[in-house]
Formats: sequence, structure tokens, C-alpha cells
Amino acid sequence: MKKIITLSLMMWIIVFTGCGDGLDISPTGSVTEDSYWGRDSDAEIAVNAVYAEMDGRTMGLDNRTDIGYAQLGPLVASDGTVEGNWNRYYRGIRKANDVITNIDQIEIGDAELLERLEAEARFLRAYYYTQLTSLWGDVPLILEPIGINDHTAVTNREEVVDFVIEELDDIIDSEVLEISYSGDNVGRATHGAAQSLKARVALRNERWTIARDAAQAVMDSGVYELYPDYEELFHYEGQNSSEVIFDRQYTANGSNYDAFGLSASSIGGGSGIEPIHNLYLKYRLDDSAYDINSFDEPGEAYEDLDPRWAHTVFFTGQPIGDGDIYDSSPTSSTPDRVNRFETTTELGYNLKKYIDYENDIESPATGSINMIHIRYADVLLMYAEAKIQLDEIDQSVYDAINKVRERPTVELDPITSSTHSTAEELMDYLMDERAREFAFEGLRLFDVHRWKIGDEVAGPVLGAHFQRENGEIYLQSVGYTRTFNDYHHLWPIPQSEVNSNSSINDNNPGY
Amino acid sequence: MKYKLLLMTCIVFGFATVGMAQVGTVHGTVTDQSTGENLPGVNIVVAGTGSGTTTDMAGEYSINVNEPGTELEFTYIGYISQTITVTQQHINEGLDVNLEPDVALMDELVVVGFGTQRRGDVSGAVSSISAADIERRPMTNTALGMQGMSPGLTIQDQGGQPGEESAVARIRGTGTLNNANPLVLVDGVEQSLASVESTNIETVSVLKDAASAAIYGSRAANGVILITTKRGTETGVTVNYNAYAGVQNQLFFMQGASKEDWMMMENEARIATGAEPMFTEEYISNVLAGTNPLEYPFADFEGGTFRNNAMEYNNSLSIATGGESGRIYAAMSHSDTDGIMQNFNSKRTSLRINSDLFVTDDLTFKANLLYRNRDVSGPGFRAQRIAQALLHMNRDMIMSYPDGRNATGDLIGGTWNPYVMANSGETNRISDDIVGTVGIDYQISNVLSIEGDVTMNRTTSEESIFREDRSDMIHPLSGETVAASGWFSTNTLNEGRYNRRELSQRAFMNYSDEIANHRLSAMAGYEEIYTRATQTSAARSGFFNNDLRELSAGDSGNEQTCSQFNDPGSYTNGCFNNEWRVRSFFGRANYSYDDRYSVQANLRYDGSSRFAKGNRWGFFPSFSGGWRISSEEFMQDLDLFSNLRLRASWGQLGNERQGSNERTGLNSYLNSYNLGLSYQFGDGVVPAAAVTSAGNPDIAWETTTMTNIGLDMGFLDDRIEVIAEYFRNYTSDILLVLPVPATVGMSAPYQNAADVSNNGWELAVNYHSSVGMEEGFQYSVGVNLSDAVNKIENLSGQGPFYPDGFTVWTEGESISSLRGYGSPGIYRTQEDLDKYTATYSPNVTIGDLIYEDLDGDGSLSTAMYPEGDHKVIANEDPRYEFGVNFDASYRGFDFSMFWQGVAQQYHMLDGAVVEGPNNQNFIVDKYVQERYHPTKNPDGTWPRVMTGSQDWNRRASEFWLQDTKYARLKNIQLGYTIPQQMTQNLRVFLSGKNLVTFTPTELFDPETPRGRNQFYPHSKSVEVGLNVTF
Repeated sequence: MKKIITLSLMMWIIVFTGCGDGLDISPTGSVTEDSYWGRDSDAEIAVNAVYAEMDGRTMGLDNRTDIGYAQLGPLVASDGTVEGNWNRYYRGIRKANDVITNIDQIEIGDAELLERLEAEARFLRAYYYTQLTSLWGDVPLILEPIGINDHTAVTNREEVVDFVIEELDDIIDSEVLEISYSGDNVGRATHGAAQSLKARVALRNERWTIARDAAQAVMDSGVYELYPDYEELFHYEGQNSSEVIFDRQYTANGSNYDAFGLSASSIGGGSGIEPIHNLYLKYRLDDSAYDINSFDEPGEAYEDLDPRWAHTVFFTGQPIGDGDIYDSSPTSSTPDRVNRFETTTELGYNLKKYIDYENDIESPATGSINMIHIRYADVLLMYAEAKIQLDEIDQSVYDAINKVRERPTVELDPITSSTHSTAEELMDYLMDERAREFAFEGLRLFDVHRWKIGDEVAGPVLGAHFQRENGEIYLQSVGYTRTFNDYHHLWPIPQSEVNSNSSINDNNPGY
Repeated sequence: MKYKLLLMTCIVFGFATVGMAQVGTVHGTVTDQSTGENLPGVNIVVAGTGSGTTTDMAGEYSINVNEPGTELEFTYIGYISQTITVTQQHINEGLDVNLEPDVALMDELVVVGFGTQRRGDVSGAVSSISAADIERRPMTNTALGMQGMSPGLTIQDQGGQPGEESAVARIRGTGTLNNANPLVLVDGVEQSLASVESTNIETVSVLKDAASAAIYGSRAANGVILITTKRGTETGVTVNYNAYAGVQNQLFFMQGASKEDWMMMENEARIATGAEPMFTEEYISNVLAGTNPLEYPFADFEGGTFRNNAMEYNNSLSIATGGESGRIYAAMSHSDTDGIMQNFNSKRTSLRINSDLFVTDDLTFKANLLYRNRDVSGPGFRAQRIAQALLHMNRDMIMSYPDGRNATGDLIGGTWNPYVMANSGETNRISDDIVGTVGIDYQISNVLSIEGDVTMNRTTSEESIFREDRSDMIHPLSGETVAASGWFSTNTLNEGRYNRRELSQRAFMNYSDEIANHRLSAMAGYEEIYTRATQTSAARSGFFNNDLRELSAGDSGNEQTCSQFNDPGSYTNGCFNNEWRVRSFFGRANYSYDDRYSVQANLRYDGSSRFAKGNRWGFFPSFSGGWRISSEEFMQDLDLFSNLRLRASWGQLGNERQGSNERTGLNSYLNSYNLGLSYQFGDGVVPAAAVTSAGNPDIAWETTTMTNIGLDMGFLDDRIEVIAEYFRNYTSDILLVLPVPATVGMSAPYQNAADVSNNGWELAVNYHSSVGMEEGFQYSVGVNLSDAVNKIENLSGQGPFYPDGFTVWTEGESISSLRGYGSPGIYRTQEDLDKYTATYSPNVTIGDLIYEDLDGDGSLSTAMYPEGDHKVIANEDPRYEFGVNFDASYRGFDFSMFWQGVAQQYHMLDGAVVEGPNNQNFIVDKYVQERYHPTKNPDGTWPRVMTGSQDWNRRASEFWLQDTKYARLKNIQLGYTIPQQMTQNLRVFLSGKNLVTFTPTELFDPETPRGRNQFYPHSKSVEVGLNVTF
């Protein structure tokens, strides 16, 4: 009996203690490095991941310019947006470098496809470096995957720009990017996107000739034209239209966002972006000097404005949603009353661009309008700007600007050589035109930085026109005065990077 | 063998007992020889038969014997056994027995890892909590029942939501930056402390130092709580029934401002910044008149969100019996607890069967089965969300429309009406836990035995969260349909399934021998634990109406898999399938001589699947020794001590866990492509893959080195017992995510990167009154006190790191250090303005908070000094924790109370309470009383109020520190044992929980974490109950 028991005990121990050390457990949701690069589809999936680091809803950047407001702290090296953007761009660069370094290992698959995929990765890397160098100036230029102990120093801005332009030239010359895509490829980098990005990076770095020629090439290609409806351009209707050159794609079933999240309280938003009085002033068509005392009631302030104002901003009296009227006045009974609570507007305006009420009201949590990064109107105005800067003022400059102004839903009077003749007059005009056309598309900050017009950003931040009981019209204020020093034209390198990267010891001047 | 099987069947189905024809009955009382106390539960066995009985609550027994000359054995833990030969006189006149206490506490058996030890041989730091103490506190959460009962064991109650395991346990402070929870083992199997039924507990041991915990190796670095559950008795049948019912109420919520003050403060904030007042005189007077609440609303959100007199019920029934071929314990319990927030409820039902089959004299088979069902329900929003709404919403909205329907009301901003949130929708989380163990215990020879078991521990949870839409509310004034947006624009259903399986097995061999004064024991064993956790989730929105709550009834065009609409619940966020394994070999040797000297050594060799080959195995030794000085010759003349014993230990323990989630860092040693990414082109979602987290092949065990010195003292025949401990714990190579340059482009991996120490002491003093006072009045007092100082010793020269918005990790400070500005208060005079010139705005003036410009550069920066002006302003570690027990009995009455508290503790206020009128948030009455205003309140000490954009008075600073030391009457109980013949014991009781609190702060419940008050509030309760034993 005892023997049987002992024997069964021994067996039991053996059963449970055998079989190797049992501690090699492979991950269930991932593949290790050495077994990844096998087929062309692996490369495609890896390139898709590079796209995913593209800027999302960049309109918040405009809160640091002369046209928008939110409760932000001072621009410091520990700022979350500063750190978030830096980190995201370098994540994208890491993914792109991974593709560019490893794609040659692939032996199975369509060689043409692989060439295109590599070009897409290089395009995206060029895009990320364009953003980085525009915001920070000198940045680390990393061209292959690095490890956690590799600390990289910054490279001179001009060198980074040279690299980006060379890359784009290569990509453009090779013609491996498609002119356009269909189906499940809509949204990939196109030949036109590479040309447009080249214009953008050149313009941001005062390489006017390159900018002019690149923009010209896009215009000559005949691929793009302005979308007739300015408001719809930023709705579902206008997605992937003939005006869109490059965008970040969203879909309700995939990556999406709170459609109304940055907008008015009454539609569930948190007023994360508030247009301000400075922007309002740019849309006035009345040539006379602005005088608040000329209005008998607040509504009069919103008459005779550039039509794009009403497509960009919710202001009191404007329709919002389902037959309701936006009312942020202090006597309003709606959730939009100024300062009503934490998520209501403080200044009396809310963001309207990219709000597609009818299509998103059923399910605002899964908003998915694509975020446009480069559109044809930008190419036209970049062309005009390069030409003005080169002092090549000819009819093509007026034509480019007027095309944007004469869009069917905007229909403003054209400018001519009689109204704007000198390069200075034209440039002044164009700078405001860009603000009106591209407000809250995430471009204003870059424009302010490259034109060094930070002094326009500084000063008291004012909001909507309201009326006191005694009839007096006033501008809503929260007592906030914005400061902007010259050094703010570059962002600080994130404190976390300075702390952890032993090759970066100094931040940009001023920080 | 057939006979055995038959008998086992009898045990399982019939609780068969032994009954044979017998001739006489002996009855009597068993008492403690030294105290005269009656002893309940003494085992009385007829020698050589195995049949017997136990004494009842009064210490009385009655047993049948065949004839005079039969030998009765009286055994009781902690007393010297007696064998008495029955005489005819005994049968006629009864037999009262005095049991002599065994020398001091030495022979008390203490449960330690993989076995038990005599108290006298234990040389590590082990506290035992009396199961009777826990059992007597009516408590659906056993963790809370252990609060303050053992020095060095901190239980913090982080929220009052029923069914949520919000109690956080710490043994000797927070030892790691990772998961610092102690290992809780119920009958050897890891489980949650909160969900063990307190009535099932037989013993609790808290293993605090390396010497005692080392046998659990890698999992024990934060200490171990060992719980054994009750098993059957070898004689007789005992049936136990416990029940109580109670009412709970909110323990603490901040006192809000009066309606008038509230609106006045909102206006004051606006006027201060040049904005228009928020409320007109007309509005205020109408609100105060209250005659037109729909047009001039002022919402009473507390009334609409909280529930008074929430009920709780608890029933438990157990039966214990057995015979010579086996024994069994079976228990069932059920509890039903309503929350003190509307619509929250938790039900728990559990069944436990612990059985032993004595196959031969030497071989026992054990089979334990636990089934538990947890059913937690609530509205469609998490409690924190509702609390957030309560704190962040202004009151000038209609809480609920009088439209005859349930929970419709003004949804400003589309979402935030706490009443609607707390009273609409539905959350259900149903979990089934099954823990099954089959094991053997085989006595190979007198000195050698082998034990082992195989255990399956499985949890399946199903969660569903339904949120209603409110698209068709009718506004009571306008009569128009009001469209809601945000969360309430569409109804959604999120469902998730979570499944966790843990298969474990352990086998170990014991050797134990005694030769003269030498006692030697040794143990060697093996353990393996394999765990697999999976989760799947799916969601749809756009349901036909709010009553159809089946996933299939939702809009198939608007669905999500592996992600959720709105807020995630516990199991409705993402999908995963993870597995991991730990294998260990361990051994222990004990030697003691003459009860004077004892030494012990533990070795543990652990392997974890979380590390790469080469770093996988860790070796963790520990050693300890004890010296019973009072048994030495030279002490014999000294009458002061009845016991004096010195203990010392040293040892190392490992930790493999990264982060606070058991699934974090399972493969962090590998660089691998994350296949779960996606992007979208056109309207289609396309797959994407990349290396998103850098792997760290060097990652290895984190090691805690513990040193402990303990002194046990007994005075007056051990009626006074003093236990003192001093300890130093040093954790090195802490697994920590050290930042890497973002230019690397991958998230930073875990590295072995920091050292943290915890040094402290513990003191426990217990006093038992002597017997012989008139009328049997007896009492005992127990006090325990402990302290631990936490310090980050080394951060690889890096840091400071900011793990969250409030705390900082920096060398030389505690892990829970709070950072912020120094502040002497508000600017009161021009001199102050001249002296403290660094400000956030040129508009800063009298009435605003002063922040110290530590680095003297004229501006304020949130970097830590010397780079900036932030400093460590306090830490959140509780210091000088204490517990005081008082028990007394007089005739049938018993009384007990238990106080628990912390003598030094700080928290920092933040969020809604600090923002108050500035951001249209909850306004505490203290704000009204204390805020500075040049005319209305020139003596105010709190900063003046201003609207949100001028937020310079609400930065993290010393000013918002709250002194949160406290003493709380956790439990008070009065019981009465009814003298009667029907049952063995019948006791009724009245008890109260959390009834009295002393604390200096009025803005904060001292038991909650951090200062945001954004949790489910705690409750206090009063219960009546009944204990019956048959």
C-alpha cells in the first residue's frame, strides 16, 4: 500500500515538474524584429503605421497665435503640446527609418509596390522634418533606427531643410508616387503632395525660387482645383475632393475624435478653441477704421463681413445645429452663455470650421472628418507669396490670390494692381488673406513664426460684442493679456528631451 | 477501500457522525487553570477511538463513555493536554477540568509559509490576527475588517462603492515604485483580500520581514497575508448562522455654500475680473424665494445623487463535522449592499466546501472548492464621473424636469447633470470565481511528510454598460423638445468579457524531529503558477429605444470591437490574450534548542517568464534567529518578565512585476512589432505595425533586502504582552520606466533603475485583565503603533521625475512626495507685494497667493529647485499609524470598540474644491468664510476669487496642504448572549461602523487618496445582527 502511494506521489511530482523550464512564453499580440520583414504586405503595414503619427487636429496650435484663445500656460519647455508634437514626429521618423532601413530585406512581393512604399515612408519622414524644423529650428536629424542609448545632437536648420528638399526632389523625379489613389488607398502620399510639401518647406525657409517652382508644378499638373463650397470643404462632403492634396484620414470605425469637442457647449463641446477679436477684425470688408461706438446693437458688428467668417466662427445670432441660434450673450438662456461653466466660451465665440452638425449629431463621439494638411488654395497662395518675395509681381500673382477670393461661396471682389501694387501692399494683404482662408487649420502658427509677426500676437485678448443694460456695446474680456517675445518664434525643445538626451544641453535661446 | 469510499460519500452527503451504543455520560466544565476562565472549543476525545466532542461557548461539555476506565484526552491549543481516566464518580458527579496554559505563547501554532510553526520557534516578524476579531466586525469587505489590527499593516479605504475592491493594503509602507500590494494567499492560493468571507476565516498571519516571507520569494517583496479557512471538526456537528442588517449613510461630504453665498461668490469672481455678474439680483431673489424653481432653478445635486439609509444585509451559514474517515466544512454566505449613491448595489454569494478524507492514518486527501458570484450594478456612469459632475457643475440648472419620466433634466453642455447620470442607464458586472484545490498530505514516517496540491483559480467577468440617450426631453417652460448632445445624444451599449485562469501546483516535503532539547525541521518544495488572461469587448450605439439593451438590437453600422464608446468600464476597453508563468524551488531549515535558541534559513530560487534567458532566475536567501532570554538561568531570579525574547532576521526578496497591472511588461525584454495598430485610408481601416516600445533585454529581478529586529516581552504571566520591531527594507534595481530621449522614437522600456528604502518600527501592547474581579467582569486592551519612513535612495542620477501632476520622484525624498510652491499665504499689504515680486501676472495684488521665488530669478517656474521654484512640500505617507482595541465582557454582555488612525498625514487639495467659484465648480462653505475680499472679508486668509483665465491663485502650493491626521471609531459593538437551552450559543448584537471621526480638516475625508474628492464617498453604518451556533 505504502509503495503504491509513494509511487503515485513520485509520478505526480514528475508530471508537474517536467517539460523544460516552461518560461519561454512568446508575446501573443506582436512579432519579434528578426521575423518581421518577409513580404510586401509587411512593408505596407509598416508604412501604414508611419501615417498614423501625422498631425491630427492641429487647429489648437492657433490658440498660440493672434486669432485664437484657450486657457494655456506660458510657452515653456515642459508644455504638453510642445512635448506631444516633438515626441510624435520622432515616433513617425523612427517608423519611417525602420521601413527605409529594412524594406530591402523583402524578397517576396511586387517590386513596384515596394518602391512606392519606400517613397511614401521617405515622404512622411520629410513631412515630419518639415514640421520639426519649422517649429524648433535646429533639430536632431536621425536617418536610421536608433537604440535607447543613442543620444543625438541637433543639426543646423539649413542642413535639415537641404535634406528634406533633396529627399523630395528624389521622390518627385522617380515618379513612383501615384498622381491619385482609389479605394482603400485614398489618402496615401501622392506625387502632388510631394511637390506641395517641397513648396511649403521652401517657403518656410525663404527659398523662394524653389517654392515658386514647386507650387507652379502643382498648378500646372491640372490635378487640383478649388472646391466650390468653402463650408462644405471641411465637412464630410468635401473630403478627398479635388482641392485636398494631403490630409490625415479618419473614419468612424477606426481612428476618430469627438466631433464637437473643441466647439460650443450647447452641442457638447468644451470650447477648447475660441476665436478672438483680432480674427474678427480681419474679416471686416468695411474699409473704415473699426469703431465699437458705431454699433447700436451687437448684431451690427457682424454685418458686412467676409463670408468665410460665418463658416469659421459661431457668434451670437448664428444658426447652430437643428434650428437653434447660437447665443453666448450674458443674458442667454442657452448652455453657451459666456462663462456659464467650465466648458463654455469665455470670450463669446466658438469654433465652427470642421463642425458638420447634420452628419455628426447622431454620433458626435465618433467624428471622422479628415484633417486637411495641404490644400490647393494653400498652393495658390504659396505661389503668390514666393512670387511677391521674388518681386516678380505679374498677373499670375493676382490670379492666384483672386482664385481663392472668387470661390463660388466666397465671391469677394478681386484685387488688382490698382488696389494693391507694391510687393509690400501685396504681402500685407496676403498675410491677412492666409489668416482668413486658413483660420484654425493649424497653419497660422507657422505663418506667424516665419513672418516673425509675434508682436501682433501680444496684447489684450478680447472677444465678442455684447451689450450692457444701459445700451453700451463692449467687447467681452477675461482680463487676459498675451505676451510674445521674439524668442517665441521658435518653440523650446521639450524639457524631457533635454533631461534625457545627453547630447542636447542647451535649449533654444530664451527658454 | 470500498468502505472508505462509502464513508466519504457519507461525509459529503450526510455529514455523518459517529454514534455507537454507550453506557454513561460525563459532563463538566473546562477552565483555564490560571485565569479561571471557561474555555470554549476544547477538544475532548475518547482515547483510541477518535470519537469525541468539544466544549461549548460556556466551556461545558458532555460526552458518552462506555465504562469507567475510559481515558479522555483534553487538548486545546496553547494549553498542556491532559488525559484523565473516567471513574464512576465522574459519571455521577461530573468532571471539571483545569487546563494549564502552555508556557507563554510559545506553543501557540502560527501559520507560516507552507506550514505552521510554534510561536516559540518563529524568529521572523509575523503578526497573527485573531479570526474572532475579524469575524465579530460586521463587514462585507474583509480587508477593511483587518484595518488597524496588526502593526505595520495599513489598510486604506479609497472609496465606498459597494463591490469595488477599493481597500489598499500596504505592509510596512510602499516599498516599490511598482505594484506595492502584499501577496494575499487564501489556503495557499493568491486571491483578493476584499472578497474572502470573514466568517470563513480560521487564521490570519501577516508576514512582514524577509525571514518569514522569503519562502514566497518573488511574489512576497511587499509582504504576505496568509489566510487559512476553516475546516471540518473531527467530532460532533457544529452549525453556525450569522446574520446582520444595517443602514448606511454618507460619512463625509464637504459642506457646500448656502444658495445665496453660492451665487454671491460666482458674481464676486466675475466682478473681480471686470466681467459681468453671473446672476442678477432678480435671479438671486427668485431662487431664495423658491416660488418659481423652473424658471429660477438652483439644483440640489447632493439630494438627487446620494441615498440616505442605504440598506445592507448579510447572511452566512456554515456546518462543520467529521469522523474518523474524514471531515468537512461547508459554508454559504450572501450579502446585498446598496450604495449611498443612487442605484449602486453589490451582491455577493459564495459557497465553500473544505473537505479532508483520511485515506489511511498517514494519508489525507484534501479537496477544497470555492464558488463565488459577484454582481455589481449601477447606473450607466462610473461613480467617479458622477462625483466629477457633482463637483464641476454650476447649480443654475433644472436637476430634473417634472415631465413624469425618470431622470430627465437640464443637460448643460449635453452631459453633466449628476442626477441624470446617477439615475439613468445601467452597469452590470457579474463575476464568477471558482477556486478548486485537490491535494494530499502524506506522513511518510514519524519525521517525514509530504504535501502538495493542484489548484485552479478561474474568474470570468461579464460587464455591460448601457447609456441612455435623452434626445426627446421636453423643456418644462418652453414645451419644446430639448436635444441632448455629448454622451446623451445617442444610447450606447458596451460589453466586455474577461477571463482569467490561474493553474498552480505545489509540492513540498517536511522533515521535523525532536531529540531531547533539540528541535529540527526542514522543508523543501516546488511551486509553479501559470496564468492566462483574456478579454474581448464589443459595443454598439443607436439602439431603437432605451429599453432594448441587447447588443444585437443596436445599429450594426455603428459598432466597435476591442474599444468602447465613451468611458471604458473595467472590462470594456480593448482585447488581449496574455499568459505568463513563474516557477520556483524553495527550502527552509529550522533548528531550536531548549526553547531558548532558534535559527532558521530560507532559500528560494525563482524563474519568471517576464525576463530574457540569462536574467530569468533569481536567488533569494534569508536567515533569522531568536533567543528566549527569559529561559536563561540568569533570568530565573528576575520576576519581571514572564517572557523575553529577542529576534533578528535578514533576507532578500525579488519582484518581477512591472507597473501596477499584472499584465504590464510581460515581454518587455523583447523588441517586437506591435500588430494592434491601424490607420485609415478612404473609409477603410487598414492594419499597421511598428515597434512602439523599446525592448530592454537586460531587465532582471528587483531585489528587496530586509533586516528586522524584534523583541517580545511578557509581564504578569503574559497578561501584558509587548512586541516591538525595528526594520530596514532596502529595495534595489527597482523596475522603473526611466525616460529615454524621445528622438529614439519608441516609448521607454522598464529598466532596473532605482533604490528605495523603508525604515521603521512597530509596537504592539496588549493587556488582559486578571480574573477574579467581582461578577466576572473582564476586559482587554490592545494598542498597536507603527511608523515607516520612505525614501528614494537612488534614481541612477536622473530625475526628478513627475509620475503625475502632483507628485515627484527625486533622490532623498519619499515616493509619495508632493511638489509645489512654498507659500506664506496671501499678499496682505504693499510690503508683501514689494517683498514677493515674482508673480504669474502683473495683475497680482492684495488678496492673491504668494509663491516663493526659491531660485531668486524673479520668475516662477514649475521645475524643481534649483532649476525652478517647486519644492517637495510634504508627502502623503501616513506616519504613526495606530489602532486601539478595547474588549470587555460582563456576564452575558460583551462590548468592543476599535479606533484606528494616523497621527501625522498630509494631503493636498486640488481640482474642483480649489477652483470653486473661479471655474463654476462646487463652492465649499469654507471658501465663503475664508476668502479675502477688501470690503466684505478683509481678514480672509484664502485668496480672492476670480474667473478661470486668471488662475494664478490655484497653483500647487503649500497653501492647499491639509492636515489629515485622524482618529476614527471604526467599530463599536455591544453583544448579548441569551441564556437558553435551545442552542449551543445565541448572541445578538448592535454595532456601528465609522460613527465618530476626529480630524482637523473639514474639506476632505482623511481616508481618501489625494485632494480631489472625486470618488465614491465613504459610509458610516449601524447594524443589528445575530450569531447562532447549534
